Amino acid sequence: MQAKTSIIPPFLDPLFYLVGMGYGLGALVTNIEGMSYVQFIAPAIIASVMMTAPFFENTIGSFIRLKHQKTYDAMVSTPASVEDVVTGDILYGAFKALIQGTSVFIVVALFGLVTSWWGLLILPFCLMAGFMFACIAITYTAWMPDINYVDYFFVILLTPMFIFAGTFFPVSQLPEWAQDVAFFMPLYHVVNITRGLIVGNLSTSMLLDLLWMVIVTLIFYRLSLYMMKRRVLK
Amino acid sequence: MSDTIIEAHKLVKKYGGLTAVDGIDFFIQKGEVFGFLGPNGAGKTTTMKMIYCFIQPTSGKLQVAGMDVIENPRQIKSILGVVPQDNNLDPDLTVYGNLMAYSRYFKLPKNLAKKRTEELLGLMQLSEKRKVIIDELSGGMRRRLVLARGLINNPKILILDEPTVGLDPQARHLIWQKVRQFRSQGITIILTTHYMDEAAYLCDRLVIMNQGKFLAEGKPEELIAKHVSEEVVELKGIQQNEAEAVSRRFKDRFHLEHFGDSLYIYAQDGKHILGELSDVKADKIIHRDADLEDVFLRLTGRGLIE
Repeated sequence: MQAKTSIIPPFLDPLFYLVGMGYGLGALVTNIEGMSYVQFIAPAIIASVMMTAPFFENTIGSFIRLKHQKTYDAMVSTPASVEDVVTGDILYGAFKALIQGTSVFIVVALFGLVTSWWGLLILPFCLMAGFMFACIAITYTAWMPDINYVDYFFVILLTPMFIFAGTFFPVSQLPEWAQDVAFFMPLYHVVNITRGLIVGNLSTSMLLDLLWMVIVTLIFYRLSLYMMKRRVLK
Repeated sequence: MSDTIIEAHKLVKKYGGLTAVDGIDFFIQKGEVFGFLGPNGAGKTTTMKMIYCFIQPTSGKLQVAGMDVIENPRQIKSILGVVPQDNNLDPDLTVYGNLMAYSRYFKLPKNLAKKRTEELLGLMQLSEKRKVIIDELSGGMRRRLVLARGLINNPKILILDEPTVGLDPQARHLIWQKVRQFRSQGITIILTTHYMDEAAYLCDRLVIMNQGKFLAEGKPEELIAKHVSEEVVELKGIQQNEAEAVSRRFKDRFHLEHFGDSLYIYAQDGKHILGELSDVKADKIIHRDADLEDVFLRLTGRGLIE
């Protein structure tokens, strides 16, 4: 049951994007930065599910476990600490990113859009990116007063990143100030790395993207533990 | 002389400006059933949560099995079984799945976990429900499952926060039976309750708490003897002026409490004064033994405490 609901929809969703936007819109937009439109957006679609999977799991899912099912309380009453429980929940989100990222990767590969063996590194990368997004989501969840606040998270973080983080068009199309904003979007760096790996076009700037991700992950991991501890242990 | 397993000294818990637990001292002996009684907001659950290392004391000292709650929460929690007020079972899992998943948090080896789970399902009469999802269980079954879950690690100390709240009489009696059974196996049991009959039936010793402090502590029968007389005459449905007249007549000899439309006369020998009440107009006159409820109401007041 769980397996069906967590694999099939995320399998179909990116397929629609790939076919609809990649080939439909792609017929009008030819050649972005030397590649076809579908080649340009394929890695972005994989990168997006690395974000959306933990963003859903660790906001709505975690909040239900935290507040409604009181699973956190039950687990913290055993030798497990809040830190253990939160880390476990983050890993759950990260693994969802891996599972869904892998299924999208397979679709993209079947379309012949993975053109380098470096592309295989995208799979472990799903786990790393998923971990980062899970930390961000669970930090928000630790603050969230009730479940309706999840809308703000999606409108302020998820949707803008999904559209503006170099996903469906290069950030160079944006005005200068917006390019600066895009730099601070975690998804922007995840897209850069995925796009480099999928065609085997590696560059040193990818190391910078990686470093950026590590720093953000560390900050939000610490913050999420701190905030969850305050919230749970009352 | 039995050993002390839990010891608290000047224990305080503050939430901002609110003092939930206000400098209490107590000890609990190995193998006894110890009860925390009190109205809502008295600080019972807060005290329990400090014992099972869910929240940290603001000040004072609290030791469980010789370990400090701030320094060794993980070790302490590994010898505890906790049955919280809410049935926080995992609704995504079956009855069996709940116990097995929980056993993992105690790092029980899989074989042992399976064995324990089978034993506990049998003990709690849940064996036929093993494949059932939590949503489909009755309130009594859920409570039994939470109790089973609290025992998965073979705890030395079992913590029961309002173990029978909202259950029907059969389900309550089944839980009581089990608690007495665990006691006979030497498990130390700490419980909170609103029900005085439950406390009187189960507890070896208890404390009555109000506003973060202890009002009284001791064995149930000692508390009754100390704070109220052995017997009570209860005049139900009595008019205000009639109640005042009776009060005037008896106030020099006995302790009286007037609450709502009832008047309580605490007398050593209630039968004796029944004769003197033959002319009193009341819907019902009851002569009974005093119980913990009388102690509780006397100490915490008959008014509604929110």
